[in-house]
Formats: sequence, structure tokens, C-alpha cells
Amino acid sequence: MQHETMTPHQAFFAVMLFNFGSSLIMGINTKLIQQSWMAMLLGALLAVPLFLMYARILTLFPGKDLFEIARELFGRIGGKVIAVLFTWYSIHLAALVIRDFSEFTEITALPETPQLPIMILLMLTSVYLARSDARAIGKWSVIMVFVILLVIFLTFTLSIDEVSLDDIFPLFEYSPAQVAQASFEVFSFPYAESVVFLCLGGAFAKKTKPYKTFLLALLAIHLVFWLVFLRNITLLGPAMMETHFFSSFAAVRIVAVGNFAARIEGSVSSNFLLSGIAKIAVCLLAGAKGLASLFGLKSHKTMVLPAGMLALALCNILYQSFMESIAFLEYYAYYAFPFQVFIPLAVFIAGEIRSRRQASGEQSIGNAPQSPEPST
Amino acid sequence: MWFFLTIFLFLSVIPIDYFTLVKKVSTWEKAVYFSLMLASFSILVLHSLSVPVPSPTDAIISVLDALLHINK
Repeated sequence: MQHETMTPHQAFFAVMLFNFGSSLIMGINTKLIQQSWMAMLLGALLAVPLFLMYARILTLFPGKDLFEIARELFGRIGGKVIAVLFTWYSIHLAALVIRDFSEFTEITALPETPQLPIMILLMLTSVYLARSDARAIGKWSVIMVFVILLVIFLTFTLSIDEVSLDDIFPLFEYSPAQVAQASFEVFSFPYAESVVFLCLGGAFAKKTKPYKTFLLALLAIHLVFWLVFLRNITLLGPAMMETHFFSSFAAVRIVAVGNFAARIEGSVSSNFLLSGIAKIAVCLLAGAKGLASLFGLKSHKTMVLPAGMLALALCNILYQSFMESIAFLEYYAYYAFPFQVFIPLAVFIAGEIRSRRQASGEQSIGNAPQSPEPST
Repeated sequence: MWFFLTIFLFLSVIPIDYFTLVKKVSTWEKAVYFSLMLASFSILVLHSLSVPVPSPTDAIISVLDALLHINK
């Protein structure tokens, strides 16, 4: 069992890499253009209580995943309902990321290549990683976060000459309602998608401190997103940023240092690939655990490939075109809200009530008058 | 072409998965495994033959529009 759990460091990097997912390449909410920094900040602040709630659930039920917790709190039927919902959400999320990646590849690099082979390759790689279990995802995350940070640092440094700081102004152009809407979208994608880690509860090593892991990861993710946003807006400018779907790719495309360092946008594509694989693998692992819980199977490992195949089938029928996927982003925050907030909140409240009842029960036993020693 | 790619994909991954993992598990687990594989195979084959398969995205958008009037 030990080799199947993530160490605390690996868990921290896995949460980071999962959040990078498709967000690094899609650029974090650009509807507010220059003011996206504010939406990102508010989105991260909204995510703080949510991450604390996720951490509390994992602390209340150490070594258990969401499916086991739900069965324990809500009984067999309630547990199955939550298993169905979260299995669907995990597999659907994996399908969305696979589709994002295949669309990105088709638009930016391989316009003549059909998407199916790209989807198959990505799905098989992620299935292999998920089948190797959580520790393998943890190790992958540690290495890849450093690779991604190095690429971001390099692109940032190489682009210094091209940067135009005037592009970040005006700082407060949009109305509070627009900022609130954008913050809600950033909160939902990518921060609150970390709810999938509740399904891998048993994959965290016992010495992992969920509060520290989640909050430090949130801080690190937010800083990286800010850096990426700053790079993109100062390189592209507001007008260009608004028209590009993949703002990071477009921004790095214009970076050139003399004749020897040009066309380095491939490095950004690799970022997307490396973090995308981790995100899909985490979703597939969560989906496999959900399927195993739903059908009462002993091991989730046999369910990883079926979960991957379902995600592959799903990502083919999700949209007719890339524009449809952009249109769905408007709905995503509302669609994901019950999975990201309502269900964990119900689990959190039920878990708190149960733990308090247990604590008061233990206390009353401790305070009960001692029965006299039987005389011999 | 996509039809044959789909068949090739399933014919190559199922034997590998079967002999490394699925062979050792119970009959119930095998039944669940093959049912799920059959479901995804059916969707992929229908899609590769250009048979329209209903998209869950449309259903999600319809429900959310009806409940929350997001784009109205």
C-alpha cells in the first residue's frame, strides 16, 4: 500500500500540476483583459475557504476517499448516488481536457491532422500513468512542475525586451458585476476542480497535512498564474490578448533573441502536454475509483482503461467545433458548482456533525461516575 | 478510416490489459470491465461512421438555460 500513496511533497506538486492543466495555455480568464489580475485574485480568495473545506474533509477521514466517506456518512444508497455523480464529473473533466489538447494541437501545430489519433495517444499515456497509481503521478508531478517553472522563467526572461508595461493599464476598467462574474469563472476553472483530489483521499500518505498542502499549492498556483498573465498581457497587449484563444502560445510566439532563440512556442506546448497528462491521469484515477466503488469491486486498477476509453468516447461527441467548447465555458462554472461546492459541503457538514457527536459521546463516557469496585 | 483505427485501438489494448490485470479478477469484475468497454466502443464506432450521437454538452446547456436562464 505504501508504494501507492503520495508523499506530502508529491501531493503538493500534484495539486499544482493538476491546476496548471489546460489553464497555462488557455490563459486564465481573459474576458477582463487587463483586469484579469483582479479576477484571478478574487477567484483565488474564493478558493481559500473551499480548499480549507476539502482539507478538513481529508483530515476528518484520513486514508479514505470521497466514495468511502459518502458511504459511511449517507449509507449505501447515498454513497452510490455520490459515486455516480463524481464518476461522471471525473470522466467528463478528463474528456474536456483531452478535447482542449486535441483542439490546441490542431489549431496551432497540426491543422491537417485529425484529432482522433492525438486524443488516443494522450489518453493511452494518461491511462498508463493512472494505472501506475498515485505515487507515479506524484513523482511525475514533482519533475514536471520544475520543467514547467523553468520554461515559464526562460520565456519571461527572454521576452524582457519585448515587454510593454503600459499594456497593463487601465487597472480598473470593468464594472464590479463583470469582475464578480469573471472571478466566479476563475474560481470554478481551474481552482475548484481540485475537488477531484477528494476522490484520491486514500492516495495521500498518512503524514500529509492537507491544510498545508492545499493552501501552499493554491498560493504557488496563483503566483504562477499571475506571472503567466503578466507575461502574456505585456507581450501581446489588450487587443491581441482578446482575440487569441491560446494567449500563452501567442505571447511566446513573438519572443526572439537574435537568430538563435526563436520559435520557442514549442516549449509552451510541451507545458500544456506535461500538465495535461497529469490532470487527465488524476481524473481517470478518480473515475476508476468511482467505478470500483459503484460496482463494488475490490480493486480500481482494472477500471482505469475503461474510464479512459469512456473519456475518449465522450471527448469525441462533446462538441462539433472549437467555438462550441468556448461557448460551453460560460456554462461550465454553473454546471460544475454542485460537484465543486454543494456535494463537498454536504459531506463536510455531515462529517462535522458525526465527529462532534463522537467527541461528545467520548466525553460523556469519560465524565460518567466510575462504578464502585466490586468487593472481593 | 476512423472505424478501422477504433477497431485497431480496442484490439490492441484489450489483450494487453486482459493478460496483465483483468485475467486474475472475478467474473463480476470482468463483466463490468467488458460492459464499459463495449459502451465506449459503441460510441466511438457510431461516431466514426458519422452516425449522430447525442452530446451531453447540449443536455447540460439545455438544463442550465432552463433553470438559470444563463444566455437569455
